Amino acid sequence: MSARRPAAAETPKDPAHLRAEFSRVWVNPRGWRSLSVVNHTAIAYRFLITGTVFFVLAGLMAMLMRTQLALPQHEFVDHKLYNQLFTMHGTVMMFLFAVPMMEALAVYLIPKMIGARDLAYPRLSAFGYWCYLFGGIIILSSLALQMAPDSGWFMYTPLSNAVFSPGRGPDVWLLGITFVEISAVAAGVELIVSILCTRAAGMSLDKMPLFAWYILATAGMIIIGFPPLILASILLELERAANLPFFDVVRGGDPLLWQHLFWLFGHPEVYIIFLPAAGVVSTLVPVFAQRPIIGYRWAVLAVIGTAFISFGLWVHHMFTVGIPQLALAFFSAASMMVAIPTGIQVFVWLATLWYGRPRYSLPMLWLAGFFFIFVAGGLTGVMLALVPFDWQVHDTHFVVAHFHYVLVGGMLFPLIAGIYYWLPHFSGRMPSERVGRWAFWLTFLGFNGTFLIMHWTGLLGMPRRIYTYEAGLGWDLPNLISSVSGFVLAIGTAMMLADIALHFRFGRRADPNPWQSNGLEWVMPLPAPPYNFLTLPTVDSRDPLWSQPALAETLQQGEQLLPEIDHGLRETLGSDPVTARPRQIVHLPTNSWWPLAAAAAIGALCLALLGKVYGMALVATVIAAVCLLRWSWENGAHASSAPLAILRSGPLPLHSRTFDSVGRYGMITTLLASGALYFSLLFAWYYLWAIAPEWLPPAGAPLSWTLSLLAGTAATAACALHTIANLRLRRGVEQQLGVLTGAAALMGTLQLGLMVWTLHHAGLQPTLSAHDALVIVMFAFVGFHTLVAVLATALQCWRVHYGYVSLAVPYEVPVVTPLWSFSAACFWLGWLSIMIMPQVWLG
Amino acid sequence: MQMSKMLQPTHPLQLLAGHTVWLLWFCALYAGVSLGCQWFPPSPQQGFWNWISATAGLLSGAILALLLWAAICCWRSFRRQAVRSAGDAQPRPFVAAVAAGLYLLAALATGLVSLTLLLSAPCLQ
Repeated sequence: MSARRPAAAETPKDPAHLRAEFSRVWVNPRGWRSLSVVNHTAIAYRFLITGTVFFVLAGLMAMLMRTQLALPQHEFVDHKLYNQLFTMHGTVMMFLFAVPMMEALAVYLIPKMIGARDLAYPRLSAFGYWCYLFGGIIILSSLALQMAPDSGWFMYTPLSNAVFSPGRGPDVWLLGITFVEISAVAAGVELIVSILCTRAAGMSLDKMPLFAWYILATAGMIIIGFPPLILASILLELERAANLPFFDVVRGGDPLLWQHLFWLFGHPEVYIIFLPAAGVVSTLVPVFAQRPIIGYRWAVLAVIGTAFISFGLWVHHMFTVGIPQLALAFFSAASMMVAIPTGIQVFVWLATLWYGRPRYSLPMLWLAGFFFIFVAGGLTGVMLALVPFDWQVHDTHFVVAHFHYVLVGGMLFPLIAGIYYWLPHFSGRMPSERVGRWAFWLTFLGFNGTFLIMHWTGLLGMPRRIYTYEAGLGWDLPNLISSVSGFVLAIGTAMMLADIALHFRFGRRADPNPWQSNGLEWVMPLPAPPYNFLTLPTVDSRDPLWSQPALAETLQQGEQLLPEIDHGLRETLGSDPVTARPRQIVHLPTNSWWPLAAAAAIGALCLALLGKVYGMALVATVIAAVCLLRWSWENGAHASSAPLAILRSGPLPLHSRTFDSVGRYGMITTLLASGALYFSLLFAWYYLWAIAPEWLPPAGAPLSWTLSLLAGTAATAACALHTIANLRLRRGVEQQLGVLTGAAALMGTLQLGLMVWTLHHAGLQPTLSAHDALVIVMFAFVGFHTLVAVLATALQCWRVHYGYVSLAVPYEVPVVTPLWSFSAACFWLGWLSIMIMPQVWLG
Repeated sequence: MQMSKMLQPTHPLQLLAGHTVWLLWFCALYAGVSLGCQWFPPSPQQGFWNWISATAGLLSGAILALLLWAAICCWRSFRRQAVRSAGDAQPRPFVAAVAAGLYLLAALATGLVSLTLLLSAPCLQ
C-alpha cells in the first residue's frame, strides 16, 4: 500500500506563506466560473440564500391566504387560487425551506465543528444544490404559469389522480419534489459519511459536538424516511402518465396506499426538521449558560430514541380513515411515547440553564421564544395523539395551529437563533441587538396572535382548506385577529431579514470567538476561509475551546495536523468512526462543472416528462448518465485527482490507496436509501395483496419459472464475480482484475436481457391490474440498479486498463461490490414475493 | 468474528439495535393484527381471549424480555468498562451506557404499546 507524508508537521512553516498557499489551492473562482464551485462553505451560502427566497415567497402566499380569511365572504382571491396557495405554501415551506435550510446549516457547520476542511463529497454538495435550485424553480414557476398543484401539500389520491386533477399541477408537484429530494438524500449521505469518517483526531463518539449527533440522526432519518415518498411519487406519476392503477380500487389498487407511503415519510419529516433545530438549541444553550451541557449522554440517547420512534407514528395522521381500533391504540400509544425522549431534551436544556449563568443575548432571546412555543406545540401534539380528540378536531384549524406551533416554534425560532449566533461567521460582523430584539418581539407576538387564536377557531369547528366562510358562525373575530397578527408576524420577520441583510454593511466588526463559545468552528478567522483550518486540530474534550484556550493560536501557526499544501491537493483527515484515530488522508476533489451539468440534464428530463416529450426525456437521461459517468471517471489516480506520481512517504495512506475509503461508506449509505425504497415497494405489494378488494393475482405463476430463474442465476453470478475480484485484490492478487470485472459486467448485461425477456414473455397487462403494474415496477427497480452496476463495473474494467484501478489504487472495487450484492438480493426478494409467496399462500 | 464483535455491548451498532428491534416488532404487530383480522378474525364473543391477542401478547413479552436483557448486559458492561477505564479517554463506556438507556427506552415503548392489547378486542372497527 502506498504511504504518504506524516500527518503532523515536523517543522512548522511560515504561517503567512501557508495561508497564501492554502488560499491558492482552495480558491473559489469568481464570475461565471463560480458555477463550478464545490466548497461546502460556498454551497451552504447558496442553499441559505435560496432557501430564504423560497421562505419569503411562501410567506407571501400565507399573507394572501390570511387576507382572504380576515373577513367572512371575502372575495380577495377565488377558491381556485386559494387551493393553489395553501398547496404551494405547505409544499414550499416543507420541501424548499425547512429541510434544505436545516441541511444547509449542517453543510456549513459540520466540517467546521468536527475539524475538517470540507465535506467528504464536495461535488455531491454542489450537485445537491443545483438539483434543489432547479427543482424549486420548476415547482414555483407552476404558480406563475397558473398550473400550480391544488390538492394539498400531501397530494392525497384520488383527488390528485388524472380523473379529478386532469391538469399539470400534480405532475409538477410529483416530479419537482422527487427532483428536490435527490438533493436531500445526497446531503444526507454526505453528512453521515463526513461525520463518521472525517472527524478531528481525538474527537471520539463521546466527544462529538451534540449538533453532529443531531445531524447524524437527521441524516439517517432522511436516508430511510424520504424513499417512501419518492416511491409514492413515482407510482402516482406512473398512474397519471401511463395509467398504471396503483391507487385505483377498481383495478386492484388502493388510495390508502398513498396515505401510508406519504406518512411513512411525512411523520419522520417533522423530526427531520425539528432535530437539527434542537441541535442548534443544544449548541447555543451551553454557550449562553456559560457551562458545559448537563446530561450529554441523555441528550444523545434522546436524539437516537426520537429518531427511531418517529418512524412508528405515521398512522396517527390517518386516525379517521377507518383503521381497526386496536391499531389506532398502537399508534396512539407510540405517539405519546415520543414525548419521552423529546422531554428528556427539554430537561437537559433546562438543567444546563438552571446550573449555568445565562446571558440573555439576542440568540438566547430567540431560544426563549422556542421554549415557549415548542413546548405548547408538543402539548397539543399529545392531545392530538388521543384518538377521540383527534376525531373531533381532525381537519380543523386546531390542527393547523398545532403544526405551526411545532414547526415554527421547533424549527424557525431555533434557526433564527442559530443564524444570529453564527452571523459573525458569515460576515465577520455582529448583528444589531436593538433591531433584533424588536424583530423578535414582533415575530413572537404576531405568531401567537395568529396561531394561539387558531386553536380556538378550530375548536369552534372551522375546517382547514376552506377559502371563505359564512358570517355569524363565531369565526369572524378570531379570523380577523389571526389575520392582523399574521401581518405583525410578517413585519417582525421582515425586520429580522432586513437586520441580517444590513449587518453585512453596518454591523460592528466581530472579535475572535465573540460569544466565548466552546466549539471548533470558532477557532478560525472570521469570516471563515474556504479551507476552514490551516492545520487540523487534535481535541481532548467536548468543549475544545474551553479546555484548550491556545488551540486557535497553534492552528494558525501551522503547528497541528496536515499542514502541507505544496502538492496542490485539497485534503482532510480520515478517522476511525468510533475513536476518531487518524487512519487515512482524504483527498477532496476541486471545482468541477459535472455537478451542474448533471443536475441541468436531470432538470431537462423533469421538464420533458412534464411536457410528455418522451424523446427529449430519453436524450436528457443519456446526457445525465454521461455527465455522472464522466464525474466518476475523474477519481482516484486520475490525472485531475490524485495521480500516482505525487506519492510520498509517511504513516497515513491516501484514502484512494486503501480498501476502506469514504467512497465505500458512501455506497453503503446510498444503498440504505435504495433499500428503504425497495422495502416500501415490497410493502406496497403485500399491502395491496392483503387489503385491496380487487387485487387480482393470476391463477398460476405470473412469470416464466425458467427465464426468471436464469435471470436470478445471472444476477448471482455477476455478484459472485465482482466479489471474487474484490477478495483477490484484498489478498494482494492483481492479475485478472480486468477480466473478472469485465465478466461481471457481461453477466449483469445478460441478467438485464433475461429480465426484459421474462417480462416480454409474461404478457402482463399493467394498465388493467395493479398486480401486473407492481411486478413491472419491481423488475424496473432491480433492472435500474443492475444497469448502474453494469456501467460502473464496465467503467472499472476500463480504468484497470488505464492503471486507475490496481493494487496500488484499489478503493473503487470495494465501493462497487455492495451494489452487486444489493442488486442480487433485491432480485431474489422480489422473485420470492412474486413467484413463491402467492403459490405458498394460495396453493 | 465480525458478528461476535457486533454483538459486544460496546459496539456502536448497539446504539441502533434496540429501537430497530422495537420498530420491527411494532410493524409486525400492526401488520400481524391487521392481516389476522382480515383473514382469520376471531369471534367477537371471545373478547381478549383469542388467538390474535395471545400471539401478539407472547411476541411482545418475548421482545420485552429481550430488550430488558440487552439493557442489563450493556449496563453491566458499562460499569465494568467505567471502572477499568477510569481516567482513560476511550469512548467504549459511553457507547455501552447510552446503549443501555436506549434498550430501556425501547423496552418501555414495547411495554406501553403492548398494554393497548388489553384495551380492546383486536378486530373491532
